[in-house]
Amino acid sequence: MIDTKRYLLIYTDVISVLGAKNMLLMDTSRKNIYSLPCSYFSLIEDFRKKTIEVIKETYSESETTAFINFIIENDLGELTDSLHEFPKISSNFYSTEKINNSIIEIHKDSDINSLKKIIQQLDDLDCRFIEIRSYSIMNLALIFELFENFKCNSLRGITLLLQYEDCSDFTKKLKSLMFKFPIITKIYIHSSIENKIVKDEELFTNIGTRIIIFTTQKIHSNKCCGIINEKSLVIRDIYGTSENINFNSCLYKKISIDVNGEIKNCPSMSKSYGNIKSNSLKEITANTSFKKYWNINKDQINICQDCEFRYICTDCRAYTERTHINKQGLDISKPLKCGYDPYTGKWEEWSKNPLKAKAIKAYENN
Amino acid sequence: MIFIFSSKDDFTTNKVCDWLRYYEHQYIRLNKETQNVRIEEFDLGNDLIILNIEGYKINIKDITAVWFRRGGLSDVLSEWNDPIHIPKNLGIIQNILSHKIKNEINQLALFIQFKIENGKNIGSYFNKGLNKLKMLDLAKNEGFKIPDTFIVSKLDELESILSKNEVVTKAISDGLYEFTDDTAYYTYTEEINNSTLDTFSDSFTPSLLQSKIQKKIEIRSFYLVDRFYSMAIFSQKNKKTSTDYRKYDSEIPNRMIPYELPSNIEDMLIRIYEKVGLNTGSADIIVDEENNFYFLEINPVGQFTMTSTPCNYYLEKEVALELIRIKNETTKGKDPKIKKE
Amino acid sequence: MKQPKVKTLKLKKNNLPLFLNFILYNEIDSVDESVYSYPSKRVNGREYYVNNDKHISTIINYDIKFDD
Repeated sequence: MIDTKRYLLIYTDVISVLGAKNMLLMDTSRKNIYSLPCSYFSLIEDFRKKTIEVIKETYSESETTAFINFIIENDLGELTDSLHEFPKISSNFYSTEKINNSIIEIHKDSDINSLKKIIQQLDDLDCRFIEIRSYSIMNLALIFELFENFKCNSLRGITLLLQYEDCSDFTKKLKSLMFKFPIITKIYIHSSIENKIVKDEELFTNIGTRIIIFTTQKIHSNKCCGIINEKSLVIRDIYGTSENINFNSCLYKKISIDVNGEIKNCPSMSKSYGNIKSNSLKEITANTSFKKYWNINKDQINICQDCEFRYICTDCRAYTERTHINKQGLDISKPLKCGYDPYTGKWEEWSKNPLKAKAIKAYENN
Repeated sequence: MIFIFSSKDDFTTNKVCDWLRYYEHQYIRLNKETQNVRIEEFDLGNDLIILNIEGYKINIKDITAVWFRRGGLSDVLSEWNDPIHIPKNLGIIQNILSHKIKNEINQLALFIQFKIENGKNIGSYFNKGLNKLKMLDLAKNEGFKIPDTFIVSKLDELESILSKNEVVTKAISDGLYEFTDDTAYYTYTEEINNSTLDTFSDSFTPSLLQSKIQKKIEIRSFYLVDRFYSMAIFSQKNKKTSTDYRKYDSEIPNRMIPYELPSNIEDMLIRIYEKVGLNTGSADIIVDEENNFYFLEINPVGQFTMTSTPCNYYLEKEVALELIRIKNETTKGKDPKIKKE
Repeated sequence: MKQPKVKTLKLKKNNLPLFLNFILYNEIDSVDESVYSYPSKRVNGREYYVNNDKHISTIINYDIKFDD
């Protein structure tokens, strides 16, 4: 029997996000999400202030009890005598690095010295993560050379995205690459003959989760980026969630260098702010216009602002439905490659949506 | 200049340093593993003590804010650069001399440590080993509830306590925490009951016993210059962590969320901190089912990242800002630049 | 990370302080620290390698099944 003079404490690291049709409970500590009809939103708000007894005056007995059981069974809360000692968790976000992450496109003829210079400059900007991509077959020797004698000060992990190569010792070479350069924490291999994940117990267990992921997906150019589906949604801890609440979840503190050395927010975007041949990354980063999308959070984006997934979504400013521009001239339309409709609560294949046909055509002609 | 005592693998210090860099304040971080520290000049009459730390000449007069996290000068100066050669024909007195020399250097190191901290510090080398019993006694006198606390050294005394109380035991000083090349050894707070008595002799080394509190939640409260940043740890539901929450369950981590201590509890803690001359620390408190607050202990070199991260408190930023505030107060804006020789 | 197997040290009857009758231990894999960290001049301390908790890009379609 529940003592109705008590409160249901829904742990404050469990954050509720209201969407048009559904709402999301985000357990930022356990990294779980729970989809609920949006009618529960006000019930949860009430539980954050009122006793169970008072809540039962507004909501039905069975509904209230069922919800309390749901919260307790999933360890999202517990019964308590008072709530005031559990203040709301702050969603402020602060970070010290000038650049947090970067995407670098390479191909077999990339100039090794120029690449070395880019990585050095990123490290100097306190950059933590880099994704190095190639859409065609690379000579792995170039990657070995790229990291040889490289002493970093800020980087925490590098991800490689490479094309599958049909030779018997390909996996072995990739493993030796990771073994020699522990800063490479993950390798993705596209255009593979099979989908598989390689973990080498002997080499990688001590380090955590260094893995090589083979996918049959063919990634022929940066036009493949921007996919938003149920699997691409990632719940982050309270720090990461706060970043997504306040800033653009893709472009904030990101800098990208495309295959031609053009310096951009993202390789898939057409606007270039300079070229690595004549500009330093530091100088581009100081340019306010370069940072204009950093503050566009999901609350400002059309349709997404009504979506319950907005703080676990990666967003995409490269491919959008091209329907809305804000006062500053920034594209605030919904990402093109998202098939979710927050008004119906349904996922569908985005490329088959007739309303998106015009925008899809625009990008195809580019 | 801001001066930090730490160790090379301390991630919390990295974060504080990042914030100092962000606010563009120079700092020197002296890790306890550092080999390269020498005394360049020492002339007390002229107030001149110059250290050489990894090539940087530091006049300790120019140190205007200090954070003591770990280590300290006595760690780095005892590992003196040049090995000391004691003449070999001294026989039995040889060991005595080597001990004597260590003490010489240590006294010197402690004095310089004292001069460096000199009231402009957060945390202090001289407070790193607080006496657990003294702290419990202080807390009790300030009005805190404390668990019933006994020292026993005889099995029959222990049995008679066990017949009336559920008890736990822990070290009077610090628990064991030792790493050899291939094995880690450690102790936590452990429950004692009739089934754990087998290995105890009839009499044993004096040991600390405390009554087990039926806890509702555990609280970790970081204190930094008049402000508390508290966290509730819901460790009771989990069997693994119900006696000692550090027995971390990585599969189902304990829920840890921001908490606000009642103001009378904060006032008691402030008085305790003032009495032992601390301006920072992390207090461990238990709240029982009847909402009584039990004081357990204070860790003077607070492990605050474990509080900061789940609660989104940015305590590393707060520590950096406090160091900058102390520095500005000490220098009134004029701070000499650090130059490598 | 692989969780180490924690064991309790078995002791004969002794007169040690009681807490030392409960020594836990586990083997530690002797890993060179360069495998998980490196010295960083930025902060004059060790910086640790980690996996990012966010997708830097979404060029990989995560909606595929792996036979793991």
